[in-house]
Amino acid sequence: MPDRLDEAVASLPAYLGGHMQLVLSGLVVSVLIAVPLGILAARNRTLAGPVLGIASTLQTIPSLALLALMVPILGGRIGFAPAFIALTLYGILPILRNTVVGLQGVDPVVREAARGTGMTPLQSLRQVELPLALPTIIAGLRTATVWIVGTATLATPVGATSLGNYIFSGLQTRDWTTVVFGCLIAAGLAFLLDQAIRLAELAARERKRAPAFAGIAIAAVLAMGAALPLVTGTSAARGIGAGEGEVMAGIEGRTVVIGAKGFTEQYILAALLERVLEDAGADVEVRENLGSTIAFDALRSGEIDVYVDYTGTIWATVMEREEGAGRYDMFVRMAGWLREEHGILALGRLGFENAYGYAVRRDWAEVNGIATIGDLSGRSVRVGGDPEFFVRAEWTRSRDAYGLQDVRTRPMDSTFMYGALRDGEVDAVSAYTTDGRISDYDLVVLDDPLQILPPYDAVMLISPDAARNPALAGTLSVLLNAIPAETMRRANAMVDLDGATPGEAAAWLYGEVVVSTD
Amino acid sequence: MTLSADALTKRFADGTLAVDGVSFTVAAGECLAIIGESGCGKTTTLKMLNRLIEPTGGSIAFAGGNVTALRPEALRRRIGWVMQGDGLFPHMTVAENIAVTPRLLGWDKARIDARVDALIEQVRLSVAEHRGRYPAQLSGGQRQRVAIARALSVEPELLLLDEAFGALDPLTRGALQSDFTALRRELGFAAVLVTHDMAEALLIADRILVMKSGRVVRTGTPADLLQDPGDAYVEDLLAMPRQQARAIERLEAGHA
Repeated sequence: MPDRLDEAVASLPAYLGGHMQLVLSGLVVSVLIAVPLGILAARNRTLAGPVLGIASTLQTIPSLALLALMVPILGGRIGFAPAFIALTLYGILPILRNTVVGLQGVDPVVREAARGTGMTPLQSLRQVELPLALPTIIAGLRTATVWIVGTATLATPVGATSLGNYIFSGLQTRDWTTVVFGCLIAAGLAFLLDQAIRLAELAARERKRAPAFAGIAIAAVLAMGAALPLVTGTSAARGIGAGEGEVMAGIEGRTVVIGAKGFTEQYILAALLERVLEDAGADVEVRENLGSTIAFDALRSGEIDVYVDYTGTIWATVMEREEGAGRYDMFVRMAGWLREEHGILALGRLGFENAYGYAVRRDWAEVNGIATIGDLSGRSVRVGGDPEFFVRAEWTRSRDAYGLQDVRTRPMDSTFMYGALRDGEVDAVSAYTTDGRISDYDLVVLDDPLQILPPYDAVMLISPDAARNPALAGTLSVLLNAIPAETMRRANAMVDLDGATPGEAAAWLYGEVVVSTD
Repeated sequence: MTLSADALTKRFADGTLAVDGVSFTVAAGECLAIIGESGCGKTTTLKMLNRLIEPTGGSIAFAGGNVTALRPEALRRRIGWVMQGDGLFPHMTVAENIAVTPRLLGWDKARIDARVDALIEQVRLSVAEHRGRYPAQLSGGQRQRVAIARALSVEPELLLLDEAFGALDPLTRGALQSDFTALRRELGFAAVLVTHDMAEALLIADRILVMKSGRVVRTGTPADLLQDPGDAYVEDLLAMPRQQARAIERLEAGHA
């Protein structure tokens, strides 16, 4: 446990700094947009309705969805830009609404008094209406602050560094120390920012200096926090080929950006790729916890240079194919399609597949005589699975092919589904076949005689820009067909069951698959 | 002549004819009361004088020139304005409220401070006690005194008062009315005062203008009106204060 805490503390400058940058820039821009817009809307009632309507509608979009939507809207850009825009949009409503309400709440008698004493509309706004509306506007700003600090933790899946990195990584690797650490830091940050604003407002209203200094001091400390990543040099770089047109050669001294989705196997593979590329002299940066389609969008646009995806995922989600295909056929057709449509190079298979499979407890299967997916038909069994699974074609097709209409589905985070199965809360789960918990919890994967569930071979994908540099593919080719499924399962189990870090598991994997082949 | 209104007319956007050809003059130092029941157009007439409402017809001359020659804000800084329910700025102290128009005119701080202190004394408040208070810390009568001080801050030739004493209890109202008359005698400003209270008009105005349905029905001094109402409506307006005065007289005679 202390190791985990040490590691969490070591990442604090980068994570907290990234979080602060997102929060402060999102808040500042929210205010710059919302306050003038609120002033206009308060003076013009025909504008007020639509403006507040649009802002409220944006607010009803779940924050994670709004963040994720920004990636395709920005043409596949990940990292700061999409997170910043989504957080800004999110922060606008409370400030806008309170600006309108605050200004419209100013007593008409007082507004007329301002005109009667000879104030111009602008003087009335600045000297009378805004000061009187200020407490309401500040209340909106405080609401926005707390929302943005919280929502910024969800910026991790779109590739922006934030305190959410603790939460997402910790959740996936069942490292609760790190999850709690991230939550506490985020809560503390929300509290401090809220207090800084409260003190600044108090000082402005009472014209006192002490709270003003306290507020400014907190703000200064927080601003220094935002500058941390600049000092420690962890600012995000774009991919190897980004913005450069010429064909490049060599890998030494170049910066390679590796992407990873948000689960254990991806963290380990990213760390393994990092090790291999660093051996070749490259500077490596890892963007972890990317959402599934976000990672692909980021690769296509060159925000990342390389990541590992799975043939079945690309086939169903990106290529939107409904029909099934055999293992080798699918790989060849996928590789051709990626190269032609997007210029992406599918370097090749790592040697294992991480497919979906229906897993059940061994004792339960034996008692009930269940060996294939079809044996679940007609029973009122409960199936747990990650939310992505139940919207994929393999769920609908396996349901229809094996007659699983009576099954009750329970979407849940993949971290929890194995435990839920072991504890009898569900009867089957859509397991990942490389997960270390399958053997550890004494689970069995049911047969798929109709071959409904497609293959999910792990493949290395290289961005169009980075594909122009043959040295990158050459360096990574050492991993082709190098990782058997059992080896990958053991590496995953080291993290998920034995409490090792992904880096430690990657070091072991490196020893197994790279050193031994040398 | 401080002010003259000629055929002043206001038709609102919805077609309502609120003020229909109203003409009157106010001499230097004179106090004119405009009286009438709710909706007769008296407040609209008053607000046209400092262009809080723009007239749709007629003209207003103030201090020798047409009021449209000045920007509305510049005009309003030269005319004092006291409104119903005081209209003080709740986030400003007494001193800051009084200093609003001088600050808009760019007076220097020493001149503003001296002027504020003088005005606080003139409206019978205490510099030591009231200068730094906020409106919420004052009584209704004290707030109205601050409103009058604010209206007088740049020594205007003309003060406009919209039901300025209407919301006060009778005792406070009486004290404020007599102080207002004394202040007017001392400083010599002219005033146009809108009220629905005939007793108030009779007691503090030099001349009374009676309005009904947007038109002037009678103009005259309090004595003129009492001797010869000249109109059934004016008679009605005078009836109540007369009855009250007689009833009090009888009661006092009975006790004697």
